[in-house]
Amino acid sequence: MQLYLPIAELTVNIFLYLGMGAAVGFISGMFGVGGGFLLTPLLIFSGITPAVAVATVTPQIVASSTSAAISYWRRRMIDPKMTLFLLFGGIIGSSLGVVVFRKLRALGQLDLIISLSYVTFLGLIGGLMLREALRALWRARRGRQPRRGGSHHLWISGLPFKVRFRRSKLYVSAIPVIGLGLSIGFLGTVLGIGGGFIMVPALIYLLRMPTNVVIGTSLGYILFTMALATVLHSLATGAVDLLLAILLMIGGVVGAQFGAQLGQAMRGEQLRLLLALLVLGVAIRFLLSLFLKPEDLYSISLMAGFG
Amino acid sequence: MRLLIALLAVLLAVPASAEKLVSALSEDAVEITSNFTGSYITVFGAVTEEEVRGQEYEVAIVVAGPDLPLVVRKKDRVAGLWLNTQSREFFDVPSFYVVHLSENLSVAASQDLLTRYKLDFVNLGFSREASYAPEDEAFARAVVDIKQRQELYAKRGDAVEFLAPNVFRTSFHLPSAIPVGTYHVSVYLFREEQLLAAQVQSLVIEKSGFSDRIASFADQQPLFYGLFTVVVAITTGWLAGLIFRRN
Repeated sequence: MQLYLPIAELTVNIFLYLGMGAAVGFISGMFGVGGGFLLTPLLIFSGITPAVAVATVTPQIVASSTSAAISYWRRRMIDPKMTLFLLFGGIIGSSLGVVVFRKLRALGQLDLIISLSYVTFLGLIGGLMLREALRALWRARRGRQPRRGGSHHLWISGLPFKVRFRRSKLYVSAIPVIGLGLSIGFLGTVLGIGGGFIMVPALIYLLRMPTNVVIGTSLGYILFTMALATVLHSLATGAVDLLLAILLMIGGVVGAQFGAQLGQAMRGEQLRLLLALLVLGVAIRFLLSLFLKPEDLYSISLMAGFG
Repeated sequence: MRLLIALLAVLLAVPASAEKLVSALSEDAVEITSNFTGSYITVFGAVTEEEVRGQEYEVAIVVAGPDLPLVVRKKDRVAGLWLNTQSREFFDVPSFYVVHLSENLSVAASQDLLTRYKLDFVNLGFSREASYAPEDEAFARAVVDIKQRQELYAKRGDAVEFLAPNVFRTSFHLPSAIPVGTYHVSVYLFREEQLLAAQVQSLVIEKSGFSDRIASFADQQPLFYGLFTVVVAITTGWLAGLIFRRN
């Protein structure tokens, strides 16, 4: 079945995008991540322009985070105060992001920056996750208990403006919390990702947050920053395609439910190892696109401010 | 049926004066609705003259979309990476340009004729401009190449069919990714490369129905469009949570 997308201005097969949404939803449900880092590249690869892809993935991330966030909230696995502090940074970050996004698009370097950023961040995070997951597996095999809690990094515990986060049982400076929210809000808006795959490890390893509230808090943060990013993209870039978003959402929420069931049946270390490999895979795909000779050296786009 | 009526209208409209060209389009507006997968537009033409001479007519028909400003970027290898390094701006690139020629023209037309009446891509405003500077020419050629791959530019010989020596017809394919705007359909009638008559008509291609409403909502009320999209997203996510929790 064919559908004309009014913003992307092309006719697409409904089932392709429902399926794409479902596949990414499955993965996001399984790992508790937004899935934007997979969906945005898939859309670009399928012929949607990078601008429309990035802007349209933001409401899809809202939809896929909502049902999960609600269930984490019910189980009291979200730290509301931490979420608010992260969001404060997120609002600033998203606003900066949308301005930078417009600038890059006008300069014709949006695709390059998206590729370079994907390589850098996914490569870095994927590498760290892989190392950590392999260590955890190694420890599990040796029958040792993994290290838990511990102290913060010295530089973080030395920072001022300390705030008590009761549900996380933390007493840390607000600076790294707001800074984290800001950076991920910025990246998410420019790259079309929720940033859960950066947020979750950052909360665990940087802030030493207890793992039971990490995913819920990250989801709550992503839900609100991506909702904001959707509105900002509509205002600043006009590239949010509602119909494409709806297709991706429907596929996504259904896929996420099945993914979540499988995810609960798997062990944490195995999940993290798989996610690390997935993240690294996407990074390598982007790396290749930067180094391999493109099929066509030329590309055309409407001059900024038209269409 | 619609085509037949249009054809009849053309035939009836032909007055009995010398060497006159009358043409008609099967529709004067194409609406892009949410199930738009491309369309066809048929152009009919008829010629009258006092006495039919031995030589046959030559016909060229051009469908041209609105001119838009484009940026063309070229990638080069910099430190192993393929980056956009050079760019050129062209301010008047037709968004759509398809030429249909009758068989006799496609076989034997001189380059001079093709160039003069823009029945080729080399003499479009932006190509001509670029041809003065060799380093720009490649950029203009790239535009034509890319547009041809997108089926937005094409030149087809033997595409105009003569139903009678003085009645002809051709059908243009409008791909699903066709840009919206006001198009011009030009019909040229030649004999031995001499222009006898020409006619230009406009054709409107517009978004319509649901897809038009979404596009204008996004364009005119971006804040509410964004908020609405968020509400749709949250509702979808929330509903899905409800449905799957019960199961």
